[in-house]
Amino acid sequence: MNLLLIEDDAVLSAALCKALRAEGFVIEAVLNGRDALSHCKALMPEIAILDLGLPDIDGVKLLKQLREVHRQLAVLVLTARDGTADKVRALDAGADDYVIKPFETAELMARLRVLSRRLGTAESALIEIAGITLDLNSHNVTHDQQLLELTRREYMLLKALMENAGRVQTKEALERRLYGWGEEVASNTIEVHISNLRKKLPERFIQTIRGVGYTVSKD
Amino acid sequence: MKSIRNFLIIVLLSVICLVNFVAALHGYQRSMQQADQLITQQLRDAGQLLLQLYEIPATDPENESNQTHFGRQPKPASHAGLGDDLLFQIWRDNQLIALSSNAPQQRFAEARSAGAPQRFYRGKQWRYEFVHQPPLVMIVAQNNDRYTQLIETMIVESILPIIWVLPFIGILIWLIVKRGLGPLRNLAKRLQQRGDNDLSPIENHHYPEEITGVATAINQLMQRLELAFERERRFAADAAHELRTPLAGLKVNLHNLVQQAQQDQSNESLETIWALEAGVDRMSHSIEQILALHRFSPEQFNTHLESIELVPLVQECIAESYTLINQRAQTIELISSPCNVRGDRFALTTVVRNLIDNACKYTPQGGKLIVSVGTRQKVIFIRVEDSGPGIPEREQQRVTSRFYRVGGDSHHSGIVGSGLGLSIIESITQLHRGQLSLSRSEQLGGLCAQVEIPVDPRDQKASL
Repeated sequence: MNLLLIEDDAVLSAALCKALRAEGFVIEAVLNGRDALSHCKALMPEIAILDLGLPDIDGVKLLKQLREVHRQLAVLVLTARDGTADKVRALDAGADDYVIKPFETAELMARLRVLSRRLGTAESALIEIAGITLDLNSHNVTHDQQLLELTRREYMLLKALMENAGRVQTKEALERRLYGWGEEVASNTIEVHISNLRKKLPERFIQTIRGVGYTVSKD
Repeated sequence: MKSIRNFLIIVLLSVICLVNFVAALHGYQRSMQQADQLITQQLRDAGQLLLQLYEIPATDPENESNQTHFGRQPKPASHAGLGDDLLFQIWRDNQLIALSSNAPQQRFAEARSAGAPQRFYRGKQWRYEFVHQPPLVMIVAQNNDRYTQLIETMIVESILPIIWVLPFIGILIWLIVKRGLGPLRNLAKRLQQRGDNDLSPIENHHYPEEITGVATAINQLMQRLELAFERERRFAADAAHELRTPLAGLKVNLHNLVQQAQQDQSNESLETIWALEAGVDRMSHSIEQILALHRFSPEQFNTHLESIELVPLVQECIAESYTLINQRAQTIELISSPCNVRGDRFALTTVVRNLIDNACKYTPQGGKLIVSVGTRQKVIFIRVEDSGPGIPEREQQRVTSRFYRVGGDSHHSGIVGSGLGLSIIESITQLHRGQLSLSRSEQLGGLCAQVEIPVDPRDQKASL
């Protein structure tokens, strides 16, 4: 997995390079927007980690320019600004994810892994949690090497939960992932799918947060 | 001076009264003087005339018959035209030679005194004058009452209008002052009506020049204030950036150190690193809270008010806090009914996150949290209850003050906290015209923190 880190703070940049290399990422770091564009053209990385507060160019503008030279680039935005407006601006400009400084390194890694899986270029397309293995390439789900029979929607639901293990997925978020805009969704659709999924999975694998949504524990 | 208008009205009226009074007094005195001169002249003329009428065998004092006729027993002369109001005596040396019917036999008056001589006679005041036509001396006197009355009537008639016109002048002054102060009142009203955050300049082209000066000064002040606020806002954002980036560097470096120490299996350095990590966490937490507190202070609050569906917002907050809740093996549930609130999304998210994080932090491992959202009697409530130790009633008031922590810095929970959380919640709640209350949770026995925000009339239909 090739990463391009665009961050003007040398200390943070060096530390991140070290941490990400330890996790097996191939990473190149640049300190300003101009270098970022030339490196992006030359290296064609899969993911860019972009600090919005660069000294030479507005982060959102750079994001758009990066997208122009490299269409498939996934962008994770790092920012010190936490207003809703900034977040919306960055996501509107095509950022795939958004992390506010100071962040937990483990959190950043997890998000990078989600991105790489989404791109389908992860070295391991397998997500394994508590004996359940989800293969993103073959769309197979196994429990202790036993193949589970899942419908398409059930697979998508499980994928959404396992990709975000440890985080709560609200019912609305799951509905949005499973159904397109304007599709009629009965109010209990997600509950029905979850209940069907639970019958095929070990007990307490999917936990309910009453009134909020569902989650799968990380371990 | 409490009111310029009242001051002007009272002072102007007083001055006009005083001036009028002085003028009236002066006029009265002048009129009296002139009237007196007129009377003197009149009396003298009358005397001259009467002397002409009484032709006296003037030059023969030896004439006995004359004396008997005139001198010894002078008979009162009766003159139809004279009436009661005029009397006269004609003396030759010490001899009364003629008199009017109403005049006394004795000398009416001795030598002429200065001013306007008067004497009291037969119950009336008489004004008299001497007319000399040697050897004759005539005393003419006139009943004063009639004249005084006439003069006084005349003078009062001319002065009275000055007095009864005063109320009209008063009303006129009141109207004029009111109109004159109109622009000032208008300016004050416009300043009062503008919102807390409205620092736009006042239009001042239609004000009179005195107020234009004030308005210009206010505008300049507004401009400076806006610049200062802008600087402060930028400072907050800059400070956040300046502090957050090095903190992020610190944290990543610490992470790398942990990895290194775990590889080396060096337990001693691991302990040190964890202590460092705790310090960094605490620092970053404090920085976040200070920035939040600053951002949501009334002067800084940029009101992007919108109608917000509260339930998804709270769900999102719970989802975001879930990592921490899961780490502490706590359970959380949300009991909600749909409701809309008018507010700032980011600010409300901060409130809910702070409420949940607080509950989570101060509730022991394996504890329980219940979040309730709904509307009751036109008030929207967000309630977070926990099964933790709660806050003693006597401390409940103080916990919302900045940097206050129950039990001081040596908080028994040993939990990272800046003592700013509740203070931020309260500050934001107040910006939404709501209130924060703390009590004991009936359901779980721990703390029940509740934020109540009145339903905006515009959202009322939506939440019904």
